[in-house]
Amino acid sequence: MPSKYIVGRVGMFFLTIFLASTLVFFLPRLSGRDPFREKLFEEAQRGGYLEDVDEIAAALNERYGFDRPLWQQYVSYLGEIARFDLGTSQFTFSKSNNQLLAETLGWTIGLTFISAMVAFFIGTGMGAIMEWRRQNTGLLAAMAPFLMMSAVPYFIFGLVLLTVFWFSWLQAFDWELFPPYGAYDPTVEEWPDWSDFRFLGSAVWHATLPALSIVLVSLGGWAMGMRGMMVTTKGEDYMLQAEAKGLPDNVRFYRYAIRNSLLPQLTGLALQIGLIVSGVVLVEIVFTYPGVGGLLVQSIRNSDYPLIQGIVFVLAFCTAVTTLLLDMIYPLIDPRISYSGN
Amino acid sequence: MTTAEAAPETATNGQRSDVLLEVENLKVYYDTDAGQVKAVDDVSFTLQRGERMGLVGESGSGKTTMAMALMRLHKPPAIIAGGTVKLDGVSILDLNEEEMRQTRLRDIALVPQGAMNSLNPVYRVRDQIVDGIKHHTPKGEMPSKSIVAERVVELLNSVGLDASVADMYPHELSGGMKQRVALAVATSLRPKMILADEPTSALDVVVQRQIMLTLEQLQQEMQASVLLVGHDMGLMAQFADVLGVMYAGHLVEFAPIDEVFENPKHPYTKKLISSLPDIQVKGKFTGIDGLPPTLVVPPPGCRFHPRCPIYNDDEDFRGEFTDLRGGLDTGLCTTVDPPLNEVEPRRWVACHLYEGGA
Ligand SMILES: Nc1ncnc2c1ncn2[C@@H]1O[C@H](COP(=O)(O)OP(=O)(O)OP(=O)(O)O)[C@@H](O)[C@H]1O
Ligand code: SF4
Ligand SMILES: [Mg+2]
Repeated sequence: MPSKYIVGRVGMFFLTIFLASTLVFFLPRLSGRDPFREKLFEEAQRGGYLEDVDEIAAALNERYGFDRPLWQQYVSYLGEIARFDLGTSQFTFSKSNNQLLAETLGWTIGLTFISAMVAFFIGTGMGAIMEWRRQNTGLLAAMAPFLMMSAVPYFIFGLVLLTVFWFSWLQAFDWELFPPYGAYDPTVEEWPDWSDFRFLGSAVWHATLPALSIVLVSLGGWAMGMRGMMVTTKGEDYMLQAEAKGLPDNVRFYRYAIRNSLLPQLTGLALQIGLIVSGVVLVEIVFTYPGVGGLLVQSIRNSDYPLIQGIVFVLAFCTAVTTLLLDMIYPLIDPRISYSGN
Repeated sequence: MTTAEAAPETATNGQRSDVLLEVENLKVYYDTDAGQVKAVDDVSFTLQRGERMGLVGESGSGKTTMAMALMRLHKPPAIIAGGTVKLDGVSILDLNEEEMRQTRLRDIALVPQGAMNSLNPVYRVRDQIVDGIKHHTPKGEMPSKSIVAERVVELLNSVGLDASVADMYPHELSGGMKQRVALAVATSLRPKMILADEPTSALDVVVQRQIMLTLEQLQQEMQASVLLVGHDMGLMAQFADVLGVMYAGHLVEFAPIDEVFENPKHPYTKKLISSLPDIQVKGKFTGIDGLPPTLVVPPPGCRFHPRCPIYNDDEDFRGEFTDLRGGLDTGLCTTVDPPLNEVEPRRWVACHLYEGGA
C-alpha cells in the first residue's frame, strides 16, 4: 500500500501542474488580442499591401484552432500537455515548441541549479558560522554588503556586474575578465560538445557573471534565514543538554545546531525555487544567455500563445518536480515526518 | 589533554576523601543593563560522597543559576564573580575548556527538567547515548560496536526501559520515557555527581514517583552524590539526606533534612515548613506571603528582614521565637548581612538569631 505521505505529495504535484497549465492557458488569452492579425498588419504595413489580411488571419486561426470555443481549445490543450506535446509556435515555424525548449531549457536548468545550490550552501554555511561564532563580529561586518545586495533584483545586479566587469575601466586595460554574453565561445564550429574539456571551461567562464548575479544577491537571504534558525535552535533544551553531555564544540555545531536548523532552511529552499527560476529568466535576458529567458521575451512580445504556454508550463513543471524531490527527501532527514504519516 | 584524562584517575585511586563537592563563597551574577543581578551570592556548602542534597527556595532565588554554575554551564550575561567549586578535589573553575568538557558527564552529569525536549529530535536514542560515551573515550579505545550496543541495552534496562527504545526517535517517546533516557545518558559514564534541576516537573505524579525511584536506585548503585533542585517538599523529604534552602541568592539554611523538618532554624525555613499541609503526604512548595526582593539592590542587612516574622514581630510566630528574639539585636537585621554559620553540628543557618549562642 502506498504511503499517505507520498500519495499526498504526488497529488499536490499533479494539482500544481494542472493549475499552472490552466493559468498559462487562460491568462494570455485574457488580452483578447488576435496575434496573427496584428502580425500580418504589421508586415502588410511595412510592405504597403493590406488586402486579404483578414482572410489569411482567419485561415491561420482556423489552422491553430483559435476559432473554436475556448473550452474546446482548453480540452485539446490539456490533452496535448498530458502527452508532453507543447504544440507549435505561431511565428517560429521551423521548429516545434518541444524542439525550441529542448535547445534552451538545459542552459536555464544548469544556470539555475548551480547558482541556487552555491548560494544556498555558502549562504547557509555563513549564517550558521555567523551565529555560532557570535563573538566574531568581523563575520557580521563581512555579511553587510551581501545583505545590501539581497535587496536588489537579480537582473539589476546583473546589469551592475556587466558595468563593473565589462563596460568600465577594465576596458582600459584591454581585459576580458568575463564575457558579457552568450553561453560559450561561438567561434568554435564544432561546439557545443560536452565531451570537450575546453568547451566545458568556456561554458563555465561564460556562466560566471550570470551565476554571480544570482549567487551574490541570494546569499544574504540564506545567511540571514539560517542565522535566525540557529538562534532558535541554540535556545533549545537539547543544545544545553549537548553541552552538559560534554560533547565537543564541532559535534554540537554540526550534529546538533546545523542539523536541526537545516530542516526549516530546506523548506525555505523548496518555497523559493519558483522565484529563483523567474529571476534567472530575467538574468538570462540581461546576459543574452541562450536559456528560455530570451525565448520567453520573444514569445510574449509576439503574443505567441502556444510558445508562452509551453515555456511557462515547462518552468512550472521543473519547479514542481524539484519541490516534489525535496518533499521526498524531507522524511529522510527529519524523523518526525514519515512516509507513512501525513 | 592527556593530563586531564589522567588526573581524575589519581584523584579516585588516591586516598578518597569523604567530601565530594565543596562550594565556597560562590558568587554568580548576571550583568544586565539594570545592574548586577546577584543571583547566587556567597554560597558555601559541602556535600559528602554518595549524599543526596535537596535544594529548595522560591522562584528566582538562584537555584538553577547555582546548579548551572557548578557545571560551568552558565550563559552570558551570567558570570562567576568569585568563589571556588571543588569536585573531588579538582577545582572546577580553574579547568580549561577541554578539561571542563571531559569533566562533564564523566564526573558530573545533568538530568534536565522533565518533559523538556532535551533530546536531539533527529537522532535515535541509541546515538544520543553513544555520542556522550564516544566523546569521553580516547581515540582508538572505543569498544566494538557490539559491546557498545550491549552497554546501551544495559543502560536502558537500568532505567527501566526496553532495549527496543534504543532505535526510537525522541518524538516516539512519552515524557516519562524521555526522562528515563535522560537518566540513562546522565549515568552512562557513572558520574560522581548528578545534578537534577526539577527533573520531574511537568510529569504526572505517578511518573514522578517512578522516575525518582529510578534515580534513587541508580544513585545508590553508583554511590553518586545528587543535587536535586525542586519545589516539592514531599519529594525532598523522601529523597534527600540534606536540605539546602535558598533565599534571594543566599543559602540561608543547610542541614540534614529530618532535622530541618523537625526543627527549622531560619525564620524563612520556619515559615516555609509551617505553610506545608502535610509533608509526608505531599507537600507542594506553596511559598510564603510577600514578594521576593530584587537581586540588583537587595535589602540592606539580612535580605529576608522585610518579610521576616521575627524582625517584624509577627504575632503567629511570637511564641516559638520569644526566647530567641529576646537576645536579638534587631538593628543588626537591617545593617549586617548574616553569614552562614554552623550553629550546631551539621546545622548551618544564616540568621542573627543564632549568633549569640554559637
Ligand atoms: N539571563 C538572565 N539575565 C538576568 N537575570 C537573570 C537571568 N536568568 C536568571 N536571572 C535572575 O537570576 C535570579 C535567579 O534565577 P534562577 O533561575 O536561578 O532561579 P531559580 O531559583 O532556579 O528559580 P525557579 O524556581 O523559578 O527555577 C532571578 O532573580 C532571575 O531573575
Ligand atoms: S537575621 Fe533577622 S531578619 Fe534575617 S532572618 Fe534572622 S531574624 Fe529575620
Ligand atoms: Mg530554576
